[in-house]
Amino acid sequence: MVRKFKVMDNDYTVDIQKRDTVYSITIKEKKYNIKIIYHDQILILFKINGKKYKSYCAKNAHVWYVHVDGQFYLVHNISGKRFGIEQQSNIPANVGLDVRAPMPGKVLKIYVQKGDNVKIGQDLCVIEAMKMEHVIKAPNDGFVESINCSLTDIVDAGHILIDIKEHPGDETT
Amino acid sequence: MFNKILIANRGEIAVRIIKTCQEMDISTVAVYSDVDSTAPHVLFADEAISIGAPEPRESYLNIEKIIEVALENDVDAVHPGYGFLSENHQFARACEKAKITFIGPSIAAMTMLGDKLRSRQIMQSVGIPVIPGMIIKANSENEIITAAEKIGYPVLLKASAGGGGKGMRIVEKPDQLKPALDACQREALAAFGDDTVYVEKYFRQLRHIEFQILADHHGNYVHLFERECSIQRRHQKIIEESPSPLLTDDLRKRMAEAAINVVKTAGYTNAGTVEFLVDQDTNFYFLEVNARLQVEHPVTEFITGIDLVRQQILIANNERLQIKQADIYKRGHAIEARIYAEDPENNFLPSSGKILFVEAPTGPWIRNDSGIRSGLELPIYYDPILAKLIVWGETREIACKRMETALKQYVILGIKTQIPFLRDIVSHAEFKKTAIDTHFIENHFAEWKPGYDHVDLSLMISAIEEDTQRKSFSNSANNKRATPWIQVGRWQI
Repeated sequence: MVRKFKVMDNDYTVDIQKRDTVYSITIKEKKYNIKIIYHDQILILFKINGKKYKSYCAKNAHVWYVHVDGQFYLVHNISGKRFGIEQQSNIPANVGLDVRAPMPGKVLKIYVQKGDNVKIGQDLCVIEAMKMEHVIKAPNDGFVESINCSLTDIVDAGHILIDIKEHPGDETT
Repeated sequence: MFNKILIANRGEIAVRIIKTCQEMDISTVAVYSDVDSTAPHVLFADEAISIGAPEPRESYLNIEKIIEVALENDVDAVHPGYGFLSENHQFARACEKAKITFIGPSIAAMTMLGDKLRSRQIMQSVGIPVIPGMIIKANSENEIITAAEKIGYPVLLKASAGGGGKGMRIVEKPDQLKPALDACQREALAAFGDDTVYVEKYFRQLRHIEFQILADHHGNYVHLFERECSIQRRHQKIIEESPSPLLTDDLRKRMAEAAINVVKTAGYTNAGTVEFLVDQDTNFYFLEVNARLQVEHPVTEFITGIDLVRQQILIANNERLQIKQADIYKRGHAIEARIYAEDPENNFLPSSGKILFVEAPTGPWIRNDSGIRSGLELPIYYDPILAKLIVWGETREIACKRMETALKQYVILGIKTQIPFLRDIVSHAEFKKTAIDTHFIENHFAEWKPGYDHVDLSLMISAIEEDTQRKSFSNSANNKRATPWIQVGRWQI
């Protein structure tokens, strides 16, 4: 079976086959044989080439949180729709010119109004979480098409705070 | 002795205070905001009372509400922890008025030390060194030029109303003073609406070293040695240790004397911390007194074997200090690492969400003061500190290695933490060589990225997990009694 994952912005295709307690997994043409020693809700013990590994992992939405050998990984399952659960990325990404909240928090200040012209790097609003303020800046020149938050709103990571549209014709310059 | 103590705090410090209360057979009342109803401090306390909305000023800073809860529940004393109301003299006054003991210093001492400028002036007047210029408030350009010459270059210009590095300028030579002063005043006015500027001696290399003091109401004072807190990120301490690798016995003795002198001058009682800055020539300067239990108090507890919270409670109960200075020894070396819900790869932005799983390291001389648990939804309203990991070793080298190993075994899944960052600090060659100062992080970790040697392993594990999950689903489909939710186990939406 082939699965697709994303780790730190890199896409990986993982081919996985199972025989008894041994998995054979291929990642980027590199083949591994993994012998499972123990596996429960959180803990997985396994051996590769005789070396023992202990890993902890848990899933939230489509993301596996993996701890292995003292390192932490966020592995996003991007295999597509499965089990009727919508495949949706909650990685805050600047898709187009949406200005998204980089973390969950409270909207502390909004510096712009609908229709305002903005310059790249201009302060748009301030999000506060855990006593830290984070200034959200304009990703591009353009104008404010809409504001999708109000003062004191609690927003999730990835929430589109402000829509910035480029001025017509800007793309060609 | 008190029968019942209310802990006016949350998180790891509230849990830590409750543990000592339990050992002293004192019953505990926790208070909590709406988002903390299943937080560990609520679970550990004998009673827990809801005090309102998550916003701190509606709950953990709501003096009226907390006093009301204390009165309704026949509380004898209130422990404020650190942060929140711990250094709020209005809260101490409200406790006094309600005839509830505030576990902390007197209102008079708290008020005096709360005024940083005035307390420095007072300390200087009794011969305690302060940073040259630190107490000069110069209003005109000429006054600043005169002050800078008197102090000697380089000097630091600082906005009086300032903080967070705004309106701060380092001036190396006299001819740079005028333009720097103009810029500093402009920034100060823009940021704080006040262009008053201070000038003080600038040090290229400083260490932050503080002394732990205990003082009873009967004129007895002891110190419990120092803590080295130079490893800071954005003025926030992240690694602390005791003893300080910098101090010689002679310097330690002189600083301890100065620290005792500071608390005597202030008429300070209970547990307190006297903070000093130490320059490259080992001159030390009084900075301020933290009139409360410190975040980093466990390192002192580890090297002295003294429970500071127990001492705070005994002192607040008007008892005499049973420990004499001559009986206080330090042994070995202790290090603390603060674990924050911050994303070290994303400019240390706070991270929140559901903690899916926690497993803290255990083992000889490893202590974990924690305010989290598996399954806890992390609120966004409070300080991002999750836990503190404290280790002891017979030497600093052993303690560093123990911390490195323990951090490697600290598992928190579901949110991001700076554990990998902490681990790289304690295993850094310069840290091991004790070459540390307050610029350590910016000098050595400005471009830091976590090591990712096991991407393939993480992919394999995720693929195996997905595979197991798929099988659970097909198994459950063949078994009428089992619902998919039982079979699937770790699946979460």
